[in-house]
Amino acid sequence: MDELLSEFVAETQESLEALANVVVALESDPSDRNLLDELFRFFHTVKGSCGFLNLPRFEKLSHAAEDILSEVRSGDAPPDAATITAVLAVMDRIAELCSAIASGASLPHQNDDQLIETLRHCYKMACSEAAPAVDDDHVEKDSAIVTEQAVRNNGASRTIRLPLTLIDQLMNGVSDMVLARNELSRKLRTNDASPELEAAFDRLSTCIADMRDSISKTRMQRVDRLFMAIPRMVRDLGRELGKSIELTLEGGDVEMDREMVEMVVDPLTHIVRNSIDHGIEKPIERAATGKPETGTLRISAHQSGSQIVIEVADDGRGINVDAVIGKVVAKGLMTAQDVSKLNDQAKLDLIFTPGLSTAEQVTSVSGRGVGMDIVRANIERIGGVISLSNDPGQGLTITMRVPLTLTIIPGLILSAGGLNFAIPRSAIIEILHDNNPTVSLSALGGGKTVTIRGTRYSMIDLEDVIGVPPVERQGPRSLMLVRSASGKPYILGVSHVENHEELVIRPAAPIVMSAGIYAGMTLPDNGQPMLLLDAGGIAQAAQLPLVVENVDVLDTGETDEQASPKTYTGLRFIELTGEERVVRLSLVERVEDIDAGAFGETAGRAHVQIDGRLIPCAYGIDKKARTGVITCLRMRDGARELCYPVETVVDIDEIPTELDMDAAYGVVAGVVLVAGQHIEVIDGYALFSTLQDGQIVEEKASKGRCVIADGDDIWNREILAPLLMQAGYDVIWGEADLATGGHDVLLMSGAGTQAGDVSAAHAVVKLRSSSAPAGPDDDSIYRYDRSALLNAISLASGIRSSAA
Amino acid sequence: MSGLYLFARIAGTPVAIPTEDVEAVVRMSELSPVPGVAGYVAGLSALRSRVLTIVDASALITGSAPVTIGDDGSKENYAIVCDISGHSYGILVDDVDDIRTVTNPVLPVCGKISEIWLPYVSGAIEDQGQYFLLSLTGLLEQCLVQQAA
Repeated sequence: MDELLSEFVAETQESLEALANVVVALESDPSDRNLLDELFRFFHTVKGSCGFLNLPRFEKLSHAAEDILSEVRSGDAPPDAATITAVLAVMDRIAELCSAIASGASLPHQNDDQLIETLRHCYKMACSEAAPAVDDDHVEKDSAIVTEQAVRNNGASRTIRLPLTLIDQLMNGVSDMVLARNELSRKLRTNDASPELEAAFDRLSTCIADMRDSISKTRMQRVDRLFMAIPRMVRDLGRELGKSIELTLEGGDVEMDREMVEMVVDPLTHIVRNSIDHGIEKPIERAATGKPETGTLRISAHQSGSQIVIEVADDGRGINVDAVIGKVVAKGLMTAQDVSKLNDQAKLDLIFTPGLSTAEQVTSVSGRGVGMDIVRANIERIGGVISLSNDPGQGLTITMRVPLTLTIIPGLILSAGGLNFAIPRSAIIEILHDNNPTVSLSALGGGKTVTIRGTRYSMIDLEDVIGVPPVERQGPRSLMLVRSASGKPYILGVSHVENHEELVIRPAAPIVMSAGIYAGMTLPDNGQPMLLLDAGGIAQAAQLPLVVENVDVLDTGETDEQASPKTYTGLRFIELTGEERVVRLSLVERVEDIDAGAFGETAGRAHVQIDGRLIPCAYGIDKKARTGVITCLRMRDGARELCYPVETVVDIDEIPTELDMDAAYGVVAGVVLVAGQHIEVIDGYALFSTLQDGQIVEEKASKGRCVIADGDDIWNREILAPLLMQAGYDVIWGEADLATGGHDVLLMSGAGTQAGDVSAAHAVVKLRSSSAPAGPDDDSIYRYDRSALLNAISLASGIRSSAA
Repeated sequence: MSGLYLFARIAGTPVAIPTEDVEAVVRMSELSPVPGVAGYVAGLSALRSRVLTIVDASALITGSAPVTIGDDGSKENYAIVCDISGHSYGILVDDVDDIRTVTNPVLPVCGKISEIWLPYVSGAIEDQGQYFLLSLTGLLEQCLVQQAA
């Protein structure tokens, strides 16, 4: 009994799904006898089955529906929309009851009678309204229907139901067989088998291959199943939102893996929902923009290689990219500056930005954008790709490409650190050798960067991720451009890529999955188990900076007004040490060739002699290694001069103001991309701040006069006076010119002069020859305390000048 | 409680494993290493068309370095094959002694046993000597506990 019941539930549920479309189709063409018959048959079957299964509610419902439909069939009146809705409600109730029985829950108590009453009432209304006119061609149509019906019945293939576990067992059995065959083949090869044996073995191989194919097909399901719920949803939503929509479904006969169908249902539903809710406008709006009032929604599926391409196209208003950008910026997910650097496609892809979906409904303003990040994540999790094609005002096409199956995927076998791993081919965008001329590798602070044809990518070696030392090997390493979960690709460096194979993927044990870098395991034909790498997981485990902010897709193609102020003119040059760097051209006065002999270095500070003057130099020059002339950039920050020796000057270019990578180190501010090369940017501030004040005395502006009282003292004459002169003071001996200026500072040593005599007219700095002061009220300064001495003089002369 | 037990040794300690958990005992040959995971995961091995995740029980319990298999043929490595929550595992043990039906009841653990064994042992069995009672499910659950810690 139980078995019968569960079979009944399963069958009913399946027919219900199939019938949803029929009801909707019937609504658009109420006179279609075929559809009516199909619907009638369903209720009839349900009524028959539940009679002997003792399900009174089912019976009552289906009986009522059958009655109405039989009246409709007898041709009294075509069903109107209200009647169809009522029939749908009855079907829904039956579906509810079915799932309640299936899950063993108690049946929900609802008023079935009311439903039935509504149904009858609707039908009566329809009858009274219906025109009594009968089409002349009605008879003709009938005959056509009969033939079509016959064809359909013959065409329907006979099917049986099988539990899924049985199919899985079969699949495993075939895998075993393939492995056994491979082993046998190895044995045969080593043992020099006879031609007859070889022939027999070949036949076995063919049989096994065929069998593997057909068993794989048992897992396949028509995409129809994926489409089943859509017509009903479109109808319900359209009605709810007051929109008129014409739905076209194409390619329902394409087959894909059962599991895959289940994985795609949700994203597809979501996209269709968005399309109707946000994409297709209300009839009035459509008429206003000159579009037909009925919107069209086209969902198609086709197979392309090992992928299924599902396209959802509408002729609605499309995505308002500006509104999306506004939303992204307003939510603080990206700065306006970052966004402005994106190209059109990248801007459109902002719709996938995580966090956007949690915003309040952006419906009327921006078009869609609800949960698209989740849609993308779901598609990518099964190795698929989603892309948008937006035609603002005219419609949007969303394309999903998903693999045919989850369990057998095309994979690449790669080697790293002497171990083999598999990676889904769908995750790989490109594979290059590291000696490829379009590839350049660089490392900054341990982080590796790869530039391929002008685009920079983060790079990680697989050996580093798995913690295995790399194995020395002849030949170049392989760089794989891999998709990560966030959509930003990165480079995975591996020893080499071995080959590619169709892999049967099994889930890995939790203790293995917990490493976060594996997606499963597989048993390739050589019988050696292998781990399947999880491209997204590796990026996470390696903590690669794959944040959206770094994803600057540079708008190199366009040089519009918006982009122009974002660049400055820079001088590109090659350092003596070989790096290519760029400096603001406005900082460079001129480029000059200077003889290597003119360079000098003192106390760690480099300088160069030009025109009889010493000018600070950014770097010291190894005079032994360099002879002849050295190209120098003569730079000036307005006041100070600097000489920057370089290997050679490359070019003058427009350089983007924004750094592509912020990596301040020494005089380097970071890295920018110019014409496909990455160039370090000189930080002008850091460069000039390395110059110390007064490092090289450029001109002597007299700071004031110092009067040294005792001109006969040898210390005063030979040590103090030169020090003062070097510091920029004029030195006067004795008390000769006391009256000439108020800026003079009188320096006195020892107790030779009475302080009281001169203090009124001069600032006085007293010096003493012993390091320790003579007493607590001794305000003299130790004469070898250079900084205190100079401080006191400058302070004293400052006081004097302000007083004057 | 009587039942059929597999008698084996893990890290030199005799253990009794209820045979409900045990699917087979196989001799391990070559293992494919699994880098980047806990040390007690000795690797992967193919058993017909199944892939076993091989867990070195001694390494798990004592925290010692896992054995390397295939380097020398001198030592034979046995793995107990089991299916736990949908995944196939092979538990590496030092040695497998016997499979016997034991009619004696399960005894509580007596004495202060080494701390490393505490999380794994649920009792003891006396049958021609004492054995720790060990459940494979518990053993693997402990793997995940260790990982979470």
